[in-house]
Amino acid sequence: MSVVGKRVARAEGSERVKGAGLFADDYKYFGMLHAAVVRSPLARGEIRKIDFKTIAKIPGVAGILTYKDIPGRNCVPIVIDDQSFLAERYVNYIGEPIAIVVAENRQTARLAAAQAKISIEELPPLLNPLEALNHPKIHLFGNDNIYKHIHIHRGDVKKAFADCDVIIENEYHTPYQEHAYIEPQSMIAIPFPDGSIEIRGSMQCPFYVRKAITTILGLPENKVRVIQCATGGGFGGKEDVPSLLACQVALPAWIFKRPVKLIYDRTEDMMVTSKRHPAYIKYKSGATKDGILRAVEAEYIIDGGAYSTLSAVVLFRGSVHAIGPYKCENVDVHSYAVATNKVPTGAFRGFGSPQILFAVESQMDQLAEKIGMDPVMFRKKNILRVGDTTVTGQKLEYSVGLEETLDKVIEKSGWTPGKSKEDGVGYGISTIYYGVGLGAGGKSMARTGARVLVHADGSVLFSVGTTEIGQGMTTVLSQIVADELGAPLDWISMMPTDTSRVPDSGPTVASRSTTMSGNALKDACIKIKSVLLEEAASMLDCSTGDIIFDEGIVTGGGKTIKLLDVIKSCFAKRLPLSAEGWYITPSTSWDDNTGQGDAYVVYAWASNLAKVKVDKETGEVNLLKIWAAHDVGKAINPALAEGQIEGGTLQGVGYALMEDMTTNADGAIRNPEFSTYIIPTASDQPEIVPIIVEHPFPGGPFGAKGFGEQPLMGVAPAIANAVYDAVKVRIKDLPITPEKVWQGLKNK
Amino acid sequence: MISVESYKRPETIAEALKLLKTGKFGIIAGGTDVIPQMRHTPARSLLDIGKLGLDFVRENDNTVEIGAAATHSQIQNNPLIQRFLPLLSTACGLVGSWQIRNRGTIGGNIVNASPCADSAPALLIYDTKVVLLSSQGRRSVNLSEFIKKPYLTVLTAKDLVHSFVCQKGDDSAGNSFIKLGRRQAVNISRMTIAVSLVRDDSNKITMAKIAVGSVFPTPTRISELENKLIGQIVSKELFDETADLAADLMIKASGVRWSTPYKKPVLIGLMRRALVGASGIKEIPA
Ligand SMILES: Cc1cc2nc3c(=O)[nH]c(=O)nc-3n(C[C@H](O)[C@H](O)[C@H](O)COP(=O)(O)OP(=O)(O)OC[C@H]3O[C@@H](n4cnc5c(N)ncnc54)[C@H](O)[C@@H]3O)c2cc1C
Repeated sequence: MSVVGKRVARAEGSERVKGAGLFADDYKYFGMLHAAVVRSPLARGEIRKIDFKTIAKIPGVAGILTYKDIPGRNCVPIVIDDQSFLAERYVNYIGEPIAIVVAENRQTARLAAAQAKISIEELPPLLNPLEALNHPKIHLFGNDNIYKHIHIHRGDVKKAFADCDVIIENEYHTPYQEHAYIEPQSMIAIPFPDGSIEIRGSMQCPFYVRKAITTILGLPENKVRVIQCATGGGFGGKEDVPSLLACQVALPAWIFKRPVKLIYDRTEDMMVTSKRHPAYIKYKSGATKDGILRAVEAEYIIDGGAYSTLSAVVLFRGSVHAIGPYKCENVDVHSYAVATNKVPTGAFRGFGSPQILFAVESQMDQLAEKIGMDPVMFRKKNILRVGDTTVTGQKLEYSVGLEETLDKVIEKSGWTPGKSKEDGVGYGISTIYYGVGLGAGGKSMARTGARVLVHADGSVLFSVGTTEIGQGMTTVLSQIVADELGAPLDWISMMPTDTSRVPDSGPTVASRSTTMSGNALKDACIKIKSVLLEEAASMLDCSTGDIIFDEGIVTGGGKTIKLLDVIKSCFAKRLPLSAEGWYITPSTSWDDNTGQGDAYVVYAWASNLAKVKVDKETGEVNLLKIWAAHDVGKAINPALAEGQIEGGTLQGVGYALMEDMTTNADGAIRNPEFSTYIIPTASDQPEIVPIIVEHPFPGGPFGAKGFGEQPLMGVAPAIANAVYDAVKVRIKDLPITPEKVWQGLKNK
Repeated sequence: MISVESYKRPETIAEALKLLKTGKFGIIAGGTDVIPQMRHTPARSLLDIGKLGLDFVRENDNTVEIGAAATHSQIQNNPLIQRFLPLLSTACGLVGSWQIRNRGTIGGNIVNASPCADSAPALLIYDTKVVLLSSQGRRSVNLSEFIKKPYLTVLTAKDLVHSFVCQKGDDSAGNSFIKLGRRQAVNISRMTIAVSLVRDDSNKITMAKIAVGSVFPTPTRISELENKLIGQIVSKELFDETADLAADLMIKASGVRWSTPYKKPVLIGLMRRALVGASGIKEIPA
C-alpha cells in the first residue's frame, strides 16, 4: 500500500486555481438558445390567464413553452411525485416555474421572462409550518400538510422522567441556510438527430437528472445521457435542484431541436432553489444526578416548503440523530416534515441533523450544569462505545471512535473544564455522530458501479457514478485504484461522471462516494489484478501468492519486473484488462412507527471544542479557535480529510454566527443576495485544528467511512455552549447574532 | 441584468466636462457601487474617469490633496496619508476586501453618500473640502455640506468631483477608528466612530475631533461632543458622559427605531472605547 494514506495533491487542484476547468457556462454550441424561467410572483394562487403575445414579439425570442408542451409526464420525480415541472393550475410558492422562454441570448430570454403577463387569483398562503401542521382548512399536502411523520420510541419516557433528578426543557429554532456554492445552478441540453438527448451541467446526481428527463420527455433511459461538468460546489444544493434545471433546458431543446443553456443568476438561485430546512424543536431531557441520561422527549418540526422533494429523507436522518451519540433507554421523538407555501427546502450538508444536534448538544450542557458535573465528564458517561445500542436499537459492532475524538480535542487544546480563563472567554464542546451513506432511508439506491480500463501503455481510466463536487473524490478514488492495481498514481485518470459509463449508482450525497465508489472500484480492480497476477507469475516463474505489486514495480521469486511489461505482455496475449465493479451495502432495516432498526451500516463520530471571546458591550462573538476531531475510519488522503474539516467547520461557523435567511410577509426570501445574506469570508476563519481519528470500518475501502458532512454538524452547538461558558447567556435560536447575545446579557 | 447605452473614457478633463455638460452621462470610477446599482436601473450612458489622472495624492503647506479617483488601497498605503491623515488610511484599509479596495475610489465612496461610507468620518475629522469641476468652472464645498442626505449630494449631473483637500492632522494627536460590522471582511459598517484627541502634560484635552457613520442619516462630525471634551481633564466620568451624550444626540436626531435598543448601548460602549483608545491612556483615572 503506497499512496493510500498519503497527502497527495488534489487531482484538479491546479486546474481550479488557474480557472481552467470546464464549467457548464464555458460550453458553447452551434445554434444554442438560452432559457429563462417565468415564475410565480405569488405564494399561492390559481392561474387565470397567461398572455405571452407581447413577449413572443420581442426580437430574439425563439419560443415560450408551458406544461401543455411537455411530451411526457409533468412531474419532477424525487421521492414522492408531488412536484410539477411547470405549474398547470395552481402555484404554491414564490418562484414556482410556470413557463420557459428561450431566446437567442441570455439577456433577451431573461428580459422576456420578466415581462411575461400572468394573472393569478391569489389564495391565502400558509407560511408558518406550525400553523400549517394539521391546518383545518388549507390542505397543501394530504389533509394534514405533513409530508412525513416519524416516531422513535424506546422504553417508558413518563416513568423515566419521574426517576430523573434533573430535567431540562427548552424550545429551539434554527433558520434556513443557503448553500452559497460558488457556481450557481447551470445546465445545458443538446438534442441529437437520432432521437437522443445529452445533458451537461453542474450537479451531484446525474442519475436523478436522467430520471427527470426520461419522465418529462417520455424517453427510455438509453436515449438520455447525462454528463457532469466541473461543478463549483454542491453541499446538497445540487442534489435534487439540477433535475429541475435539466427539465427546463431539455424541454425547449427537444421541441426546438437546438441546444439550450440555462444559468441562474445569483439572486434567482437564492430565491428559488433549496436550502436547509428551518426547524422548530421542543426538547425535554432528564438525567440522574450521577450523570446518566435517562429520558428524552422531543418534537422536531421542519419546514419543507411547497413540495416534498427530499423532506422525508431529511427527516429520517434528523430523527435518527435526535438524541445525539448517546445511550438512552427511554426516548419518545415525534418528527414532522410540514408543507408550507415557500420555496421547497432540501438537502444540505448534515441533512436534517445539524438542527436537532444544536438542540441535543445545548441540552447536554444544561443537564451537566444542573447536575453540577463538567460537560466532558457528563458526555463520557453517556457516549456510545463498541457494543452499545443506539437510539434505534442498533448494536454497534465496530468503528466507534467517539471517545478518542473527545480525548483528542481535550488533549490537543490543553483545556480542561473549570480551568481558569480570561474574562469573556469561553469554551464549548459538542460530541456528535453521523450515519454514513443512505442507510435504511435510501436503501433501494444503496449500490454503485465502476469501470476500470487499463490501456496498453499502462495508463488507467476509471469511471464511477458518483461525482466530484470539490470534496476530493477524484483524488481519493485515484489513490484507491493506484493501490489496488499496484500502479503509480500518475497513471490513473477519472472520466467525467457520465450516466452512459456505469449502471445507476445512486446519488452523490450522504458522504457516500469514498466508501461506495471506492468499494466498486476495488471490485473491478481485483478482477483486473487477477489477470495481471497470473501473467506476472508466469513471467517471474513463481506462484501468484508470492508476488507483490507496488507503484509500478512487480516483485516475486526473487526477481523484479516492471508492471508496464506485465501489462504489455497481457496485451500481446490479448488478455482483458478492463472490468466492471459493483457494490451493494450490507442490509439495513427501519420501522417508521417505532423508529427502530439498523438505520445505517456504520457511523462516523466527532468532537468539537470551540473557544470564543464575547464582547460584553456589543455582544459580538469572536471565535478564537476550534479543535475538531473526526473518526473517519481511515483517511485515504489526510490533507483532503483536513480540508473537509476546515471547510465544513467554517460553513458551521456561518450557520452558528451569521447566516440569517428569512422570508417576508409574502413568503419571499428577504435576503437573496450576498450583500444581505452574510456568510463567513476567509478572514472570518478561526484557527481550526483538524484532528483525524481512525477506527477502521471493516466494510470500507482500506477501512474508510464517509464523513464529509460531519464537520459542519456539531459546530453551532459547540459555539453556543462556549458563549454560555463565556457570559452565561444561552442562545436557543440560531444564528447567535450580537443583538441576541447583547439582549441575553441585558436580561441577566 | 446590466445594460449600458454608451460608454466613454475621455483622456482630458476638458473633454470629460464637455461630455458631462450634455447631462446625459453618469460617472463611473471603480464601479463598485454603480455596477450593482445598475441591476435595478434602466440602461445609462457611462463616463469612465479612469484616464483623467485623478488618482494623485499631493502635499501642500497645511493640506493633503487626494484625487477623486485614488483607490482605497492607494490611500491605505500612501506614506503621506499614513503620516498626516492616519485615520483615513485606517478607514480605507477597512473597506470591503482587497478586490474592492483595489477598484473602489474615494470619490465614488463620497459621491455615493451611503450613511455607512467608511472614508467619510475620517475625511470629516480632517475638515475636508470637496473640489468640484464643471464646464462653469471650479468650486469647493465643505464635506459636511456636500452630503445632503443619504445617497444624495449637492452634485449635479454636470459636475465632476476633482479632489478632496484635507487639513493635515495634528502630529501629536491620538487617534482611534472603530468599525462595527457582521464579519471580518466585505463588511458593511453598522457603525463607525473616528476620534482624534490631543492632550497636554496635565492630561487636559486641547483638541478633540469626533465623527461617526451610520449613527445619523449622514456621516457627521459631532461638535457637541468635541466642545464637551475640550479644556477638560481626561477622566472616566468625562468619557462616560461624552459617550452618553452621543447616544442622546442619536436618538434626538433619528428617534427610537427597531434597532435603537441595541444601537444605543453599543454606541455608548464603542464611543467610550474610541475615546480611551485615542487618549492613549491605559488606565483612565476615575
Ligand atoms: C463587495 C463590496 C463591499 C464593499 N464594502 C464597503 C465597505 O466596507 N465600506 C464602504 O465604505 N464601502 C464599501 N463598498 C462600497 C464601494 O466599494 C465604495 O463606496 C467605493 O468607494 C465606491 O467607489 P467606486 O470608485 O467603485 O465608485 P463608483 O461605483 O464608480 O461610483 C459611485 C458613485 O460615485 C459617482 N462618482 C464616482 N466618482 C466620481 C467623481 N470623481 N465625480 C463625480 N461622481 C463620481 C458615480 O457616478 C456613482 O454615483 C463595497 C462595495 C462592494 C461591492
